[in-house]
Amino acid sequence: MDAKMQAKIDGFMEEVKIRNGHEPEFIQAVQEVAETIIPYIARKKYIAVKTFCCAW
Amino acid sequence: MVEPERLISFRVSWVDDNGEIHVNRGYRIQMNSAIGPYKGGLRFHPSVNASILKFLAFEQVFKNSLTTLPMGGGKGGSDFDPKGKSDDEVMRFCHAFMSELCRHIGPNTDVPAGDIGVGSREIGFLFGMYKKMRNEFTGVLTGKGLSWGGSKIRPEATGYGTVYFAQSMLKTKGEDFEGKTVVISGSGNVAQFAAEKVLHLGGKVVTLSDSGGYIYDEEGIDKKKLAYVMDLKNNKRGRISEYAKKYKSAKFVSGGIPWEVKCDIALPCATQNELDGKSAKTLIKNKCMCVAEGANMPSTPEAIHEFQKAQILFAPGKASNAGGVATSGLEMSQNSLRISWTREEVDERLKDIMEDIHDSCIEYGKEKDGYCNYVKGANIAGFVKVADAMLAQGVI
Repeated sequence: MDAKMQAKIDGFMEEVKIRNGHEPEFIQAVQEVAETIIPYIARKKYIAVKTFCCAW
Repeated sequence: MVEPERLISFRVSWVDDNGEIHVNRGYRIQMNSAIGPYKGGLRFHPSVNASILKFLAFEQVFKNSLTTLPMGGGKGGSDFDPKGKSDDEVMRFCHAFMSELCRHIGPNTDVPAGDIGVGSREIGFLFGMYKKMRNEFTGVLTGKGLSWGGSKIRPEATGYGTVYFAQSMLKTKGEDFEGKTVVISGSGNVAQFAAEKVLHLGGKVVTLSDSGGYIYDEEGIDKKKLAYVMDLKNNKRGRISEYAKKYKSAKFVSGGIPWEVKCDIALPCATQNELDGKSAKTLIKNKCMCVAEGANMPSTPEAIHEFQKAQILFAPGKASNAGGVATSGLEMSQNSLRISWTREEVDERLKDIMEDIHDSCIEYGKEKDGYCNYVKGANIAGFVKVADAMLAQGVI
């Protein structure tokens, strides 16, 4: 995975951690999904990037 | 998608057999309803907290989407420990729990099911209280008894489904269960029926476990021995260590985990994070070719990384254990239609659904080199459907 994509995932996970910092299992589950979904969204230029990343 | 639509936490007060008052915390996480009513199990276990339930609810959204059935995602439960409680105490707790939960759920709103610590006994007590409070007999819970709205195959579904999924995975390599040595962790509902289906397909199950350790039976756990385990666990509520006392061919490894046993196929069916990176390396070294998760998130991220690096077949729970919730979905359909399908009909539908899920994983998970990344496939296939539905419904 290239550095730009990793940065995108890390940035997303930072936000998730800020809001759910005391919930390790939840963060683990989100991390696993984010690592596969965020590259997919970027590759497909899928509009749902907003749904996943911004729909808090 | 990472923020629950609603997170409900409530007090559950109940009285034990000695007249002492206890207070537990109850939860229901209503994670996502974009493609159907919230759907997911209730877990009664001392480890239950908001983090565990949110992770389960989050995974449930993807899993339910994968089943192709119209179900959103949710999860709930309590830090109540049913272990060592009398039937009366469990009943009083379940009634107290439902007296609050009933105002948040409904057959078109949120349909809970069982999970760890919530079996047919608990579903019965919960359903009874819901019916009394709301004065309606509806399919508000799944996992019900056969005489009052339950579906055939529902108890077997998660275990059977996991094995059906593993069967599809093996088929991609021209293999099947015939003559394979299978290591299973856990000894609850999922493990028991996974073992039953493996035996049915000609495999040899050599381990089962519980929180005390695991038993290793070199000769294999046959039908008769499995019936003993089912009675031990479901009726006597005993420990798996008793198996080694009953059968001399078995040894009990106190505090151990079964991943050190040599096998062709491993089915983790106990609980989250039970299979770590080190165990994964041991499995790979022992030439294990296929790991299909019967539990939710039993493999740690390090373990998954090891499996993928070694390019062995690995299926995440949200794909391989979706048979349970899929059959819950079939139970909801039968309740709405007010009919009951035969065992064969439900089993056939379950098999078809597991094959469909496997196909979706292949569609979205196949890498350029031909290796199927089932984690990626399950996540993307589940995501696409929910995301499209959310976009179609606008900002709500």
